[in-house]
Amino acid sequence: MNASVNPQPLLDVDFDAALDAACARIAPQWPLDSVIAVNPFWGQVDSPMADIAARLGALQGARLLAPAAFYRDAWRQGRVTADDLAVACQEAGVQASPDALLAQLDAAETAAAPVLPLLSDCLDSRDHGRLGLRWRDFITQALSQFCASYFDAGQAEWHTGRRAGLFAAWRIHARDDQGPRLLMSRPGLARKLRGLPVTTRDALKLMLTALQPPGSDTVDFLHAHLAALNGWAAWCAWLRWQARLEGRDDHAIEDLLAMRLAWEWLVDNGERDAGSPFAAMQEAWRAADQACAAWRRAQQPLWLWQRALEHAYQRPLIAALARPLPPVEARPAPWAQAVFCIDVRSEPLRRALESQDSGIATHGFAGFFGLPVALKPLGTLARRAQLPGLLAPRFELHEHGPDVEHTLGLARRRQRRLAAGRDAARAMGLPGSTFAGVETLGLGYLFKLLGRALPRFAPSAAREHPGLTAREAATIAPHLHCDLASRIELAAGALTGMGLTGKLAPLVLLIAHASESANNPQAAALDCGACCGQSGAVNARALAAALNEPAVREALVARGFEIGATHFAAGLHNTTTDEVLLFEDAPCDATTAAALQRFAARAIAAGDTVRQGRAPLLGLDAKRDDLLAALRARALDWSETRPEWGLAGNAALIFAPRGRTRGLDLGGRSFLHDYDASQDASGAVLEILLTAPMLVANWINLQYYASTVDPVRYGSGNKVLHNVVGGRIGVFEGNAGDLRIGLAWQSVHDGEKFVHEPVRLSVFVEAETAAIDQVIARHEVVRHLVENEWLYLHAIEPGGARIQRRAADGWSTLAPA
Amino acid sequence: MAHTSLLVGWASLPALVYLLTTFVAASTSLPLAWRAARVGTGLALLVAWLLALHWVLDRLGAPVSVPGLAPGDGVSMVLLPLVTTLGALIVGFSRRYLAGEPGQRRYLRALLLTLAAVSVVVSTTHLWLMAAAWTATGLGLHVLLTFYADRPAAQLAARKKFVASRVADIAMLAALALFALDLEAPTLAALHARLAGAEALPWTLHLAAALLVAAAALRTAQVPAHGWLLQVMEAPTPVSALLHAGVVNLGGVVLVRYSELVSAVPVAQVLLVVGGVLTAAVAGLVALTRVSIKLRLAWSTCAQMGFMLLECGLGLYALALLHLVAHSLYKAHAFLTAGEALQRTQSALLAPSELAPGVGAQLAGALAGLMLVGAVALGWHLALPGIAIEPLALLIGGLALGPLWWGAARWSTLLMNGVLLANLYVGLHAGAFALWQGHLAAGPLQWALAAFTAALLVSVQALQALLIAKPRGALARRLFPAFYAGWHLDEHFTRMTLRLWPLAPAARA
Repeated sequence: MNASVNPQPLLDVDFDAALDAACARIAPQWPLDSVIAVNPFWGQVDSPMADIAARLGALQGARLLAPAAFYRDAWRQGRVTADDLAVACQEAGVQASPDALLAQLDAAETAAAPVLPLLSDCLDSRDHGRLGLRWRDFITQALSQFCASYFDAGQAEWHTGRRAGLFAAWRIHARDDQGPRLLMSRPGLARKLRGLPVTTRDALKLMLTALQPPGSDTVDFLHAHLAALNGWAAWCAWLRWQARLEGRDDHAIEDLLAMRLAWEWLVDNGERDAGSPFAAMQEAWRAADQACAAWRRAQQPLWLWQRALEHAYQRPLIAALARPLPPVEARPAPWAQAVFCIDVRSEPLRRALESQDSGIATHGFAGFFGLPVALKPLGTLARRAQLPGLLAPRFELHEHGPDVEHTLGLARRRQRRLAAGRDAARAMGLPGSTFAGVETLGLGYLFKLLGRALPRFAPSAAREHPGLTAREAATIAPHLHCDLASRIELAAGALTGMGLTGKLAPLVLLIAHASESANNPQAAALDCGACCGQSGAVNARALAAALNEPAVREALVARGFEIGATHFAAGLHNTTTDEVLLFEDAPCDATTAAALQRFAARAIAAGDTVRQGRAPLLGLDAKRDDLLAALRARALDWSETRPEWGLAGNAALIFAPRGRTRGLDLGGRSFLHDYDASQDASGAVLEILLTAPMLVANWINLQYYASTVDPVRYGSGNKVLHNVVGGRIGVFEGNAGDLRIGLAWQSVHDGEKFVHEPVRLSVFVEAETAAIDQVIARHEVVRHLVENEWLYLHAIEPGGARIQRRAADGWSTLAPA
Repeated sequence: MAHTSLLVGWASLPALVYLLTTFVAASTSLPLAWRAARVGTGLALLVAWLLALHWVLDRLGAPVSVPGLAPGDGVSMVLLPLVTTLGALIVGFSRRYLAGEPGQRRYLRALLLTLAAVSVVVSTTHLWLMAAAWTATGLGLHVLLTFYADRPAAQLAARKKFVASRVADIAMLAALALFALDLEAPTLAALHARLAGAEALPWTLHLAAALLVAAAALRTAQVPAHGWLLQVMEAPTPVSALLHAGVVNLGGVVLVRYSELVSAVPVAQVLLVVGGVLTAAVAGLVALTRVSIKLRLAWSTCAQMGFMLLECGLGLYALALLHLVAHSLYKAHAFLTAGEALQRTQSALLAPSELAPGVGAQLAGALAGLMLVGAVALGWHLALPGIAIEPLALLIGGLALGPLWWGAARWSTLLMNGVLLANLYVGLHAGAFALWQGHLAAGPLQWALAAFTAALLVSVQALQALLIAKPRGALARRLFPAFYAGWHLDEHFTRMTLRLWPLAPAARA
């Protein structure tokens, strides 16, 4: 038996740094009721994407590239041409013909990632367990169930104790767990648990010393253990994210890591000789760097093809954008200006509206309309964030009706209804009343079932206002709950950000967006990501109300905004049916009313065009007359797993005046944000744009990317098997297993082919390269994203036709060629 | 009631429609197959409801008579509309829900065949046919449960169910063999004739009844063989809906068919009552600890099935039938709308929080409920003297009304709701007894069983009260680990299954 290596004591400062670094690598996952797209590699953007791909391949078996068959199909279908391959080769400094590259694809297809095993994996490969269950599955199951019970706040009535933190609660629970004895034939693990220290950090140190990960870099070792439970790790990362946004901290993720490592420590049977699982693990980890480097080299051809694929998308877009802008004065003054969210689904509607009526000018702005707010729904104590997940709310929106009595009465009624609903649901679940309850009320469910199945009688999704009828909800409106000075500041900031500093049209519409679907736990993923997975309607309405307020308008005019008699109205774009609903919150005169009606008519016609464009992808006939009715039925259908495609296909983000993109058919794949460099001499707006909307778009883009190329680790699996956990935490796929993160299979795949093309975001900014360089120098995260190839950043010459690309080594001109 | 010997005449029609549809669906393109399935299930639904209407009108004395159409048997006339409605709903739901999934054709075939088998079970009076169709439902369900055959958890769940079903089959076969020793013909009519005689039953029939109960218990996922029901979430949601709403309660249907025999065999009654009430109690409490919606629903089904078997054991077959139908509809709705669990949680979290009611308040609420239900029952009895109301049912109903009083609404609203619910409860029970005069034999055994049941249910109520009043209290913390782990009962069954039939190495994901 070989002498074991003397365990080196871990220095405290090294250990703390390693622990923090490992925990920071896990990106958060928002709860189901506010789920937003997150870049799953957010904690690792400080390294090049190819390196991270290699590292995650080794630690987790994760894929960051599509399978070789995908690129081969793209070549065969002509989506990738020899030109694209040539450009990719040139950038990589490689010389190869397309045939050689195809051959390299074939070779890369059969290569398997060198996954670094954990101790329990080594035990599995040697022992196979008496009953055929693997330790990895067993541990994941046990920990996942425990975490679900610990964090649950909405499903079960009876919970595990939570006073002392996650790790402490788990220690107590694991003592009584008979699972290891019964299913894995390992009695006595509970006794071993008593040998663990009580605090998380001490326990971690002890376990690390016992497991002796080779090499001085324990970060990867810790990361591998967190990644083994990456769903719950992402949840704990969210808890930490939220806590830090509020100024505190949360240690659940460290507790989770300790729990996972504890299982490794528990299953360790003490064998240390050459053939033992422990030795196998040590050997594999000792060769980690070489394995990683070899994998990186093996993936090189695939990265080439990925670049070629992305270039194939960029080529026509760059050609379309690289033309001089016509002078601004050539256009007549519009009678309506409509501000939409930058969401890719707004682009087709904007294009259709502008082609319907050249007097309508559309703008793009982040869907929370610059209001860092949280909504307090009427009659409740809840606070719902309505801004990007990266930011913390600073103000509140309160809902009230025309007078105080009405508002209070409505609030009381809502409280009573919600309480009654909750009590009834609870009573039906309690063992003392469930039997009689089912006997008494069960027959009535026949009508509920028939109502759901017949679309005419299907209840409309009342997600927006539980406890209120639609008519009651129409009587209340959200307002900014802050003093006049703050309202003026917010209004001014919003107008500046939207670029509406010049003469305004008589009617300005703020159009937010929301989706509509039934029986869909991941509905929030289809709503506005800039509003943290909610409908942006309340932001639009609150801002419109503030901008219509006389006191605010006076102050804005005093600051130099040319508001005049402009009326501000709020609207909601239903992205499932492509209808636009206009809110009548403020009284308006006859001309404004007429203008609103005119806009509504244009919106209906534009909606028709957009629906016809969307129909093929949804499997509907574009020529049918009742397309709107079909989409409305789809939105209410309780069995529909693909109500709409959401942001599938997103590929580009353009910060430029509308003149640059007007009339271009961007295929509903581009985020469009208005930006006028000539109005932004100081570069302040550019800085905000590159540090906020660009990050949000990057999150969305990489979420769809990851869910497409690695649906097992970064996708939430098949919707048909989804099982909501903890009421609002997330979903399991099936009975159990780990918590699932990311988008469902049905959100990126239509049953035959992928609907989302996994390409990295191509960002185009119409600004001077010097200004962009300044922002990059000042903000490290932007520099990481650009230089580590997590997205492509291009600069368009303001007003001109020159397009340059920013890489790690500076700017290079792409057009004119 | 006239029973024909093989099938109850026209009641076999839905099954035939399903079989025809299966054939059509298997031989056309996928969109046409779905269309055929929807048309077929719609047709079966129409036929079943028309038959039921005909039966109702006939019972009411209306002079309807379709030449050659014998008015069917009461049980099948209640259950056929249920089965066909569920079938139509599930097929309609699956069409969009499974769009894009591989294996839809296999799914359709298995679904339609399972529905055909279920229709046969609920409508036939031939003992062998009933048993064969019961087995066939299990086989059809096995195919549906392994829709995603490459998921190892699905394989494990299907295997556990296979083991439980085969043991149930053996028990059923043994019972049928014992019947063959004693009955002239393997039909319910022959059984009725045998039991109508005054002499005591031979031990073979007692054993047969006990075996029947065992088969029913295994097929309705009674504890400790309940694990397979909990793990079938590895199959698509409509399969879970079909299983929980249409198939798992067939055990109750069979017991209702054999009600005369069960009522005459004390051993069977004791097994049903003790097993049923224990399952209902344990599963009902474990359900409180579940954190995912589908598992919560699964444990609830387990408990409800236990309650149904309890009602059978106590001789309350009419109530068992009512419970069966009501539970089917409730569970089908719950599973098919499981995706709205998030919305329900959101609404609940928005509601104003309130203090948990103390034990005293809950006791008062329970007493108030008992008084209300008692008063309502008395009212019904005085108004309609022929009504028979089971005192145990009144106890259960009264205790169930307890949570009503915890709400913060006005007293008048609460009282009105209470009166409405009590009337509905008593009315449904009265109606059930009116339709089925049943075999209520009241002897010392029945009293003992009723007392045992009452005692256990009251203890569950008391435990529930303590858990609600002090969710972080000492008792809650002491008992939580056992209930959270489902008393580790399922682990034993899994171990046994894997020893008999280990998972292949490649199947371990």
